[in-house]
Amino acid sequence: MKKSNLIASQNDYLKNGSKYQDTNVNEPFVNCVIAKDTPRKLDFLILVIETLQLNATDSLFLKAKDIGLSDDFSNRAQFWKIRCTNPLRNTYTFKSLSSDQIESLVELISSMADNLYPLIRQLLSSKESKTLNQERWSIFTTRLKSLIRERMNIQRSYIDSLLTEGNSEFFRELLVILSLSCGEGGANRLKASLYYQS
Amino acid sequence: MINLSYTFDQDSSSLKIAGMPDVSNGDSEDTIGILSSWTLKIIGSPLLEGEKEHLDNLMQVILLYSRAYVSGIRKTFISDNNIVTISPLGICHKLLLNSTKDGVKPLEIILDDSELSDLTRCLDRIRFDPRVNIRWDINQDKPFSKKYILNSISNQKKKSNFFYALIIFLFSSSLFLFIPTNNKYELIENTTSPKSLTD
Repeated sequence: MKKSNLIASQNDYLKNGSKYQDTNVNEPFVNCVIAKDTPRKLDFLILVIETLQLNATDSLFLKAKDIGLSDDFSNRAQFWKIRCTNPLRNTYTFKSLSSDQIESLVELISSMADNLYPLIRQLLSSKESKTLNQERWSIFTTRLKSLIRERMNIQRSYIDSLLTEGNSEFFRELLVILSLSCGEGGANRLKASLYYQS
Repeated sequence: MINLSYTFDQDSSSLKIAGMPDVSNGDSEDTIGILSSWTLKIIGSPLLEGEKEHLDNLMQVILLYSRAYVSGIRKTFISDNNIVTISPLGICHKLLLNSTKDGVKPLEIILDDSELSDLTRCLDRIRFDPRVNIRWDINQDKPFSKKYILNSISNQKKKSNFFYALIIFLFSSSLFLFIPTNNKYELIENTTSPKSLTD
């Protein structure tokens, strides 16, 4: 009880008047800075989307067009440049993401996660048959690891640790983030997790 | 009086709310502005029902827990009135609901990640549905401070570090037991007197 109250007061949350005053995904956070791991987190989330869906890149571009994002998100080269802000990539550009780019990526990831929710849910569920679940996890981790091997700098110890057998905690974390990022509320949650209060 | 009810389904969770438009607030005929009752069905657990205050408490806790979970923080959250508590339990989550009626035992529900996200999505839907115009007593999704995140994550690490240190200590101590001690060693007094080089 005390703990949660402390948390609430520490972060100085605002009381939410009504749904019409609720946070909007396009509303910028005041006195907040972009977290250091934001490009890495967003790139890995897109990588999970690519793992869950074949030809996900085309779907991402279509979705970006549908939700009215700028041309940067429907152009293969521009999109790749944005993703290369992840320092763990093979081809890393020394650039940082702007707030607008983060907002667009959050919106894109959130709507893609919404489409893929049944698949994500299946992987996270513990109520289904164990053998079936293990089989699904095995397919998922094998595909994700091959994508990581292909795109990330495998000489980095962090990437090396991700590729070791039996280390699927991080992959599960990514799936949980995706599952909790669906819809408008989910997009707000994801966006809030990419910033720090300064 | 118009009585309205809407159901929000998300796989394992189904939330049904009933109420009426708040005419004084300018609500249209199909908008719920005053909540009269709600029921929540989570597959595998009893039907939950209550008043608006209870739903507020449930929303406060679930949404804050999910928000923290996305930031990699796993810790216990308790609602303002101590009605709802959620805490991590292995890879699952333990939801504890205290009844406001006397003599009713607290209800414990274990949720896995998929059920937690179902419940969160259900509560998100009710928040953002244009047919529902209710003032919820919940917090906005705002970024945490860096200090708070570091403290929350490092606490977990500190605990595990202590645990690993203890295991290593016990293991290395037990290894010493296998080292044989030389009991045959005898202390012999040196009786020979030193001789000078000139002798």
